[in-house]
Amino acid sequence: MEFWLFLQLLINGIIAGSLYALLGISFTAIFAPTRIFHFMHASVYVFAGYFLYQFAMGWGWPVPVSILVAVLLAGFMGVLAERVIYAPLRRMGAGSMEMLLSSFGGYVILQNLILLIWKSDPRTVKIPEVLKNGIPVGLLTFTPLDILTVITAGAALWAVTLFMRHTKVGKAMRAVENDPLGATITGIPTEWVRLVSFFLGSVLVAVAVTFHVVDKGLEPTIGVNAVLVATVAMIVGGVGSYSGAALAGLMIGIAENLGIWQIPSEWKNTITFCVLVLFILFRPRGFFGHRMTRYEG
Amino acid sequence: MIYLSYVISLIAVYGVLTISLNLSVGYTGILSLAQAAFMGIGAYSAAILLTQWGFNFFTTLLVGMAVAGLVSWGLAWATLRLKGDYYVIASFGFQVILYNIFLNWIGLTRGPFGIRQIPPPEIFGFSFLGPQRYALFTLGILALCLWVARRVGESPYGKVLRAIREDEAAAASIGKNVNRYKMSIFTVTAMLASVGGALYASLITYIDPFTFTIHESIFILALVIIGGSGNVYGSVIGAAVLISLPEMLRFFDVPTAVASPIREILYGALMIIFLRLRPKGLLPERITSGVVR
Amino acid sequence: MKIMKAQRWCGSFSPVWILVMILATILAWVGLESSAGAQDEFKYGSLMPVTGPIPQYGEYFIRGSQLALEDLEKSGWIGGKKIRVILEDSKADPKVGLVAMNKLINIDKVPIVESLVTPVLMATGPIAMQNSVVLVNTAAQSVPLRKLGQFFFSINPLADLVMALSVEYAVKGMKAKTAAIIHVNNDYGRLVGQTFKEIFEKQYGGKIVATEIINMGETDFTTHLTKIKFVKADIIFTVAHEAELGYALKKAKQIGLKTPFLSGPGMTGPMTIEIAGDAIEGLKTPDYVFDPYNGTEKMKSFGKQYKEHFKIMPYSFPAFSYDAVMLYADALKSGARTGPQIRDFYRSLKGWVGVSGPVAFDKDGITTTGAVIREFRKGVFVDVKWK
Repeated sequence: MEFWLFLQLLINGIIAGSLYALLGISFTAIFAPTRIFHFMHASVYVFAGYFLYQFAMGWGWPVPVSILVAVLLAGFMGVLAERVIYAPLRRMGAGSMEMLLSSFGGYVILQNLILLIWKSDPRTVKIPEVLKNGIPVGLLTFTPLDILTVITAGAALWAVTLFMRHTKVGKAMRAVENDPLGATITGIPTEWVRLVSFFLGSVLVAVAVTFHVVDKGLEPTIGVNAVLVATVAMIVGGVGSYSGAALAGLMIGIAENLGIWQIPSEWKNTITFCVLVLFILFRPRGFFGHRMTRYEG
Repeated sequence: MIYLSYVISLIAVYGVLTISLNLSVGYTGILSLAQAAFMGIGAYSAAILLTQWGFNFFTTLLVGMAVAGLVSWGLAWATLRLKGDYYVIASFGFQVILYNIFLNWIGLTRGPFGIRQIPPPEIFGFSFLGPQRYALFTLGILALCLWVARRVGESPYGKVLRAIREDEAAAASIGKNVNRYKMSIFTVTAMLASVGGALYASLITYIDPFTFTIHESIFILALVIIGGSGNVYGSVIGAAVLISLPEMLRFFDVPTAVASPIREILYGALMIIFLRLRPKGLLPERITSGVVR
Repeated sequence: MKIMKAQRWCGSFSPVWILVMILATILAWVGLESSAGAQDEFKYGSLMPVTGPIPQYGEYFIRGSQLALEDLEKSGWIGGKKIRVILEDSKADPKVGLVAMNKLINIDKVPIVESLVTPVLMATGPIAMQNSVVLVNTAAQSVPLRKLGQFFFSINPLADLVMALSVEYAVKGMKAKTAAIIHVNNDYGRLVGQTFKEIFEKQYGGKIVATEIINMGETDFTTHLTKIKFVKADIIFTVAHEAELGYALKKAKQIGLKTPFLSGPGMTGPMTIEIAGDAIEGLKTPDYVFDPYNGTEKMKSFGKQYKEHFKIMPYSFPAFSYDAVMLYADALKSGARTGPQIRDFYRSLKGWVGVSGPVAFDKDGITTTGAVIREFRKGVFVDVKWK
């Protein structure tokens, strides 16, 4: 019996980890090229969820359309953040501290806008029940939605990797990440690249919140935890490495679920963060991180 | 009058918290997200020792400061040598870990059930029971903090801090042990934060872990920015404005459901605006001989 | 002195000082202001979680009291003088509640406050007791509330009575020898869960085989229910709030967990149904006697009135709030004005029947009306005949 429980928890962990992987990838897409700790990512995450809710449940649009529009809107929110908050600061010569603080300010504003518009009640978005009904496999169960989550995360990783390696924009992003000054000198439109990276990261995080919302509901508070996990996944995986972030996300999901088996579930978060702190102290490179170049902090 | 005294006390508490963070963020340029954690250490030290062991309030202050000091010294030693963003992320992680300890170590902190009926401070049999007395008490502590901060700021030690903020490499090149300075000021920040926490505990008479979250850290950070990094009087004024705002709105019959988010949106917006247009905040840094910002 | 020194600082801060002056003036004015509002109305204080993790309870109060005020208005108030409800938001947070209670008592000077949420009541109770203000509870259940004080009254029964009934039903009606408990990580969850466990184990020799603790507002029950699935439990007893229960039920169905659920009282509401969908079918729950479908005439007509106004049928809580206001009105009619007088009126209550059922208080101020067992069938809770 214990073995089956272990297996089920492992499966649960992989499913949860897939979502975390998505989060990690989304955050890396922004942090790696721009080096901005985009705390407002949490707001984009939650807002995308509320957009989805508003379209699908508030205005009765078909769910796939709602998801598409919500994801696109989220992408634009990310771009807006760069244009309105970060770019002007950068032009003023502000340092990363000012960027981070402004990001917090933006987060607080957006968070409270949500409270004013939608209040704090939990919301749900309805999708066809069949997606959520468990498929029993012996003593184990998982749902079609779970399978979809894992597939989507895998597809996202695959797509992002291809994008980075084979498209002009992707390569430009990597160039900017590696050596921003050099990139500007060689004529790469760095500002434009930044916008793309914000768009990409925000779109990915919106996909992540979609899975969260249809399964676990929507509340204003889910943003911070998402950013926390995204940060841990990115650092542990190694800044700049998408496969690292994905792998780290997966491992965090598995560790959390297996951990609950023996450790009281309240300590779940603490484990994740101790791992983060340990990595920061002893291996800031993470799993696959690129060696720190002159562009640290 | 009772209610007014309560608001004044709250302003004084946040004044202390803001001043303490200003020492690190404003004077020295160390961005810490862990202020709420240290506030919590002070609050829980006071709450636990006062309610369960009948300690004297001032003793609990010392205990809280000692714990906060030790912990912050350790944290600073481990992380201040990290580059820029990594230090901030580490303080973020530390904040979350400490929050989880407050929340889950039920044997010590009673976790989400909170600690109730925390008594007010007493000295030589005189109790600060009652809102007016407590307001005077907190104002007194605030004045003390202001004085300490000013002395630090105007001393040669303070000048080195500012030098570190402007250009660490340059400060190191003239022989200053940058890490030592950073660690020491960070420890002072943490200890003062714990004082603020203890005052908070006695004021509200009830604490639970949900106060000491990253959200609170961000709020105190905003107060520093808005009041003016490097200016501790500004910190007090910033605290006064932002704390009293929802209370005032409440009297104009704005429901709390609306007043609270409005206050938050305001400080978020102010934070962004001040960083852009008026990086010096409400009150600019005092010009003392030789150091111009 | 300070002003001169300030003027030595750089430039344009004078707007700041103007701001400070305005602030100080307003604060002083506000502070000196005595109790707000006209003297020709009765005040009814209320401290409810209007925002925060369980805002539906705030809404229940608003709606229930609104209907009460409407009916009072129709009947001419109390000698022409109306009742004004002063609502403060507690956010279900004791710290916020403390400040709000402070304001209600010291500034608004109310003689009575209606409130709920165990941690808030436990924290604010002493203040009410010290100031001789009557504190009326319309939803919280934890047993320690019994000892809150002489000014405390609870219109709904506490967990000791309700759990005794629930456990009896679990053992005799559901034939449970083992149980898993899921409870929320707060005073309410822990205490009610504890009461259930004690009665189940000590009185009936049952065994609690798993205890899962969830956070308030939890929506992800996968791991908790997975663990329970692999353990042999005859029933799952949950102490949570509407939304949490909904997610638990839904997830249980998703993962193929067939163990029957027994919830605590007052835990199901419209949100539970919306979230759980058909997973809520067959849910057993102890419930308060209020029944707008098959209850007394008063209950049915209240249900009708509520449905006309708000488009859905009410559960117990709006009915309790309605009765709370009506009780106050009756106290006022009898001449009671201060806290102690209202307390005495409540203590001597006999034969009072409201829309939630009969109301009378025992020596601790807790209602003597008990609970019943119901089952959710096709959109409604129906009484279960099991004795």
